[in-house]
Amino acid sequence: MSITINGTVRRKRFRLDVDLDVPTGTRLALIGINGAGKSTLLRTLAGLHGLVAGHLALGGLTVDDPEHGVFVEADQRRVGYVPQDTALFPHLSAAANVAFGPRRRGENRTEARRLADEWLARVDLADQAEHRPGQLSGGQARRVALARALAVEPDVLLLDEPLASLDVDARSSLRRLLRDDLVGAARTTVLVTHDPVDALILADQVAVVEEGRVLQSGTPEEVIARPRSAFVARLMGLNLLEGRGDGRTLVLTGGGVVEAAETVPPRALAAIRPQSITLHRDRPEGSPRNVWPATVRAVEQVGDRVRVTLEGSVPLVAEVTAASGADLGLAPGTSVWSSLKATEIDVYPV
Amino acid sequence: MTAHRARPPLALTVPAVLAVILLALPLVGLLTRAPWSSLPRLLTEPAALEAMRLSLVVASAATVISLLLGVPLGWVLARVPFRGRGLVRVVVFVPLVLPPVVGGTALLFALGRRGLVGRLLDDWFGLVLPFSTAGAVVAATFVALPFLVLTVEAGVRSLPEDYEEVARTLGADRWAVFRHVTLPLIAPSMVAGAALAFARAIGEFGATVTFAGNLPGRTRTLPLEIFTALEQDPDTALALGVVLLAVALVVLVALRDRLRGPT
Repeated sequence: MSITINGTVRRKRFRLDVDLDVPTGTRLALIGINGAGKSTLLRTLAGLHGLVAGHLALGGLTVDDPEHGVFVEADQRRVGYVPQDTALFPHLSAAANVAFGPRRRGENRTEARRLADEWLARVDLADQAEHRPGQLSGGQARRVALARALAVEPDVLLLDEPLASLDVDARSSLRRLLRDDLVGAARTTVLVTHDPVDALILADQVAVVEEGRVLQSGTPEEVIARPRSAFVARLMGLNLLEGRGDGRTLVLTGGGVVEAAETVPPRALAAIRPQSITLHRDRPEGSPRNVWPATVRAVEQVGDRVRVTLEGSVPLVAEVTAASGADLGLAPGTSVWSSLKATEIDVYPV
Repeated sequence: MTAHRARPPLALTVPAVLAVILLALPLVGLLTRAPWSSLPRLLTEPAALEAMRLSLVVASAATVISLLLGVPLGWVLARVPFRGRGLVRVVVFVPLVLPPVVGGTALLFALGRRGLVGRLLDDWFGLVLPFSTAGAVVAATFVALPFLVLTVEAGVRSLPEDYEEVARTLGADRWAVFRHVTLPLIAPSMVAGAALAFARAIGEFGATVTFAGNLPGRTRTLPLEIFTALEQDPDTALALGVVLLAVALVVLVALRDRLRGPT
């Protein structure tokens, strides 16, 4: 189900103007610092908060249009919502939490329970069905909350900081679920995060929210390669490389090799900050473990810095000061060497 | 050896001890003067049994009515913003600070035979509240209801709205959310509010005697029986006092988690 929103959200002191068109099946990440209004926007999509102006349509059907007095209540929108603190009902078992939606939507007790067991199995929690939320770990609670939202087969799935404040293992298992077919290719997903890694891993579209508006939206690759403001560059300034692990080496899908300082999981993503990449005209001598030849594809000035898009076995975006960019004589087509310390690479299991 | 702690100032500890004495002394007086050996006989006297039965009926009925009316009102005050909410809260507070005898007088002029609404009740239903057990229930409810409303309102307020919001997105309409999410989660507040309401109702004197009178078997509840017996038969008054004290202790035990306070 597509989402079209063009309007204003207001809550207490802040105001957020949004104009977004989210086609069916998109996984959109709303990214921005805390307090930018991302969660309120998510609640607006869910029908828990109203627009003050403009309109919102889900699947082409207007559900919120204050000027024309249209507001479809949350229980009438087919939207799954997982708030940051999960809000699992503390008085109900995990299974009863998941069965809650199907029951309210008219399933009988037996059928609702069957659906609950099925969804708990899909999030690998069949053995926790009878446990109360208080007995679940943070990661398990998130998975139950996800199962509860999905059990009503929503057309739109809304996730508020789905991976925040979880330990490494819980994050990777939940991330796998969210990337998995579990969420469904036909389902439109909107997730809120302040962590660019989550946005890059989980989303195929990102929208950067700041100062009451959407500063930029597009695919993660576009936004990283061509941030339209210093803020976006700072926030989204991350390279993400996918490949398989071999000891401390990450072998990229395209064949390039990246040396990390820690053991790389069998399937992994490496996150590299553009600022930590050094560029040279000649092959550098000395300590860096990672040295790659590359060709400059694009050069873009952002504030007092220059973002350089590199082609090669290890495709990267590097960021250098304007002065050093000028010294290097960077221009599209220039051949350069990029180098990087192994300790500057963070690896994440996929 | 325990860690050294500075001695609290006497200017505070002396009044604090006096306060405890003031509160505890009457209880000590009651318990030392109570006719313990003749307690079984005094409490099985027909008049005493009748008063206890009546008190149980009146206080239970007042508690049930308070739950039926007070839970919705507590929810509305906590969750529905509306003009005049402050005024409604003042109305809820009135019976807490109003002398019960004034409450009883007010009830008489509202619900008495010639009263504003009482006249209609009599004309339409033949229902006469003053000097009836139903009147005693109304008087007890008047003073007990605020305890329930305020406890439930606080309970709903302290409940994060996330639960109710998620329930909405799962397809529950507002009534289903209340029924399946809010109500189970505020159950502890309802129990606490009901215990307080029951304790207040069973001890009600002023409003009852003013509005419902002091008729044996109809409106003479335990407090009225105590008051009546005090002149002629102080031992019976003391014995019934012990019963009410025991009820109060049971309520305190029921509320112990709320009363424990931060440690």
